[in-house]
Amino acid sequence: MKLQSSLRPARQAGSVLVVTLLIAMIIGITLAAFMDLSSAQHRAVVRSGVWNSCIPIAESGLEEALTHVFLNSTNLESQGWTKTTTGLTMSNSIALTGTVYYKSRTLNGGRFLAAIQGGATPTLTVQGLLPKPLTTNDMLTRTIEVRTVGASLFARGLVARGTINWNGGILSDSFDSQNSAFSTGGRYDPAKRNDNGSIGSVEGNVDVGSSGTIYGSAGTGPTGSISTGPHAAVGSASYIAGGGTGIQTGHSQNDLNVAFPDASVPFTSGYTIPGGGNVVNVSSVSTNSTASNSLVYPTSPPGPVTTNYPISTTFPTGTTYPVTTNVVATTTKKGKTTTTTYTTNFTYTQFIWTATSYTTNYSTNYYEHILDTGDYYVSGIANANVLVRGNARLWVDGSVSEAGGKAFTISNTGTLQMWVRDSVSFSGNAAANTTGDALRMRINGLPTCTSISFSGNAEFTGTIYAPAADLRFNGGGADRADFMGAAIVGSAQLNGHFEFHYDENLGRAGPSSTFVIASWVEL
Amino acid sequence: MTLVEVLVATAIGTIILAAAGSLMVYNARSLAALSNYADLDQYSRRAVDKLSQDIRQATNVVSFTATELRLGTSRGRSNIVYTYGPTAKTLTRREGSNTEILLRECDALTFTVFGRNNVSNTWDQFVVTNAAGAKLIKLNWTCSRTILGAAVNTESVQTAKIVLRKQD
Repeated sequence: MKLQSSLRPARQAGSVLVVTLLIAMIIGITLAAFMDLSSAQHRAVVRSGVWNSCIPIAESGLEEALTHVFLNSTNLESQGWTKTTTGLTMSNSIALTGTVYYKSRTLNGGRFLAAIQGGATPTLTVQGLLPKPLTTNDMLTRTIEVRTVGASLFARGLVARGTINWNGGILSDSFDSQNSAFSTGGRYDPAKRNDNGSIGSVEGNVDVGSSGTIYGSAGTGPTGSISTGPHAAVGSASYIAGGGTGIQTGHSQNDLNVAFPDASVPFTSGYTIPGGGNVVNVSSVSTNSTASNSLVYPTSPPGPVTTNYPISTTFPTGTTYPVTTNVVATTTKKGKTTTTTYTTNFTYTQFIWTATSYTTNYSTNYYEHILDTGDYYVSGIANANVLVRGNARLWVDGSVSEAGGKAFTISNTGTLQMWVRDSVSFSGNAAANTTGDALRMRINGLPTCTSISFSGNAEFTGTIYAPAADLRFNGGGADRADFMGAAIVGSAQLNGHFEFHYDENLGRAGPSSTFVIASWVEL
Repeated sequence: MTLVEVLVATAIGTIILAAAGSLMVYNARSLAALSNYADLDQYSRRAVDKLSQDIRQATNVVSFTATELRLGTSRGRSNIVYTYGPTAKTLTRREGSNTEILLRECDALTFTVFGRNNVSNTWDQFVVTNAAGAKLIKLNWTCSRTILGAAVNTESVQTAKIVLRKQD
């Protein structure tokens, strides 16, 4: 069969073309939508990446600002930082007022602008800026405002990188040299102890021994362990006073994390070698004091005494106890008042001392090394008396070995920071800073300082920062003033009868390890 | 035009129309899928950004479970609470009396809390169970979208680890 073909009417001509074009148009629109959606998604993803990258850029500026305020706190207008006293306007209309130190640095196609508003606890405002996708000058900006606080280097009593091992009747507690409720005359007083004498090992274990006592807490890193013997106790003062043994709940932690940067001598030139000599010590003693009333009344008076209480404001000089004096008493008997004078003995039990004159005493001591304010260098210290009268920095390019009652004496106007290359040893009643507070003396062990030891009733008041050193305490003697201050060491072995007293003032006023973030806000 | 020619033309036309139709249906589904991915990505990005910002700013972790995170804040602000509802499949953020839904159609979500210490010789941290030891939060969620009732799009966020910036 064959159908007859015929020409299409004019109105049907090109219909195939139209349909084809319609289909092509639909496909084209779809493809365009695909491409537009993909492009928008791509732009969104890239922009998100840039947005997120602004934070690391800002954080790099924050790191630089934190380092600057710690290392150059007394000279913030240094190391490329600019000072303005009229405030600073940053991107996104963020305005800082007053004195501002700022610095900008280009980093990996972007830049940061860091600003420091100084003070004891600086506030840092940092912006991270990166160009938006497909632009070069149109910047995305994120702003961080950080308030800082100084992190105490000696926030707890004894911290070791490695193991802490106690063997014997070791005790760790705390006192506060600036609070009379927890100290006497700024010194440790066992009757006023506090329970913040915490210890910790970052990379090792803590063994408190069979009868060690920690008035505070013990901490380790995540893989460390804390072991206590049958009579050992770790906890609060009330817990231990109540006979508690073992570790009180809440007095241990396993997330201790402390950095141990190497100590280094802050000067390598410009120092002097300290000389020695005799030093005359002057002390004053008050005499000729006065005393006041007696609290003991004449025995068996004939009736109630209503007047003339035996009050004296002047101590009868030249007499010894008991003091004989007269008492005038008025008695009433059957309505008749009689005044009687009694002669009796009094025991003066309450005195008010008033210095009226002074006797000055002199003594002369010889010191092998006398340090005033400045930088000093010695090749070693062996059995030498050292007097520190100013703010001294001492580089010991060798060992420190004190024995036989030799001492570091820090005057009440002096401080000593000492960097020691080799070992440190105090033995045989040797002492350091026995009358000062712990802030006045610090021993820094250089990376080659691997041994610090105390033995034979030695006494130390101060701080030790020696992260490479093994600290050993052997025999603190009968007295309880063994170690007062704080220590950061490589490891610690405490033997015999030794007491470690952490001065809580170090946590407040002691050296800072760095400034840390107290609060973080993204503006 | 013969009958054979008509049949051949009809067959070819049918094939072409079927191909065009299939292409259009495929295009439509692909476009829908692409839109879903864009939508998933957008919500996840916003959620990660918000969570990251809140965690960075937090002073501490007040409490946590695998599906709830309560963050302490500074400067007088209310605590922020993130809660995943497995029934509603939503992640909500609550600050004071303000509540917003950050994720919808979220099939699974887990918060994992780590401490500050690294496991030796790795970049991982130790998992902690007490809020006081929290220093790093790991987010892990899976969301999905459907086309004609079938879940054909999924997106999993597994790599968001955010550190609390406040230091002790």
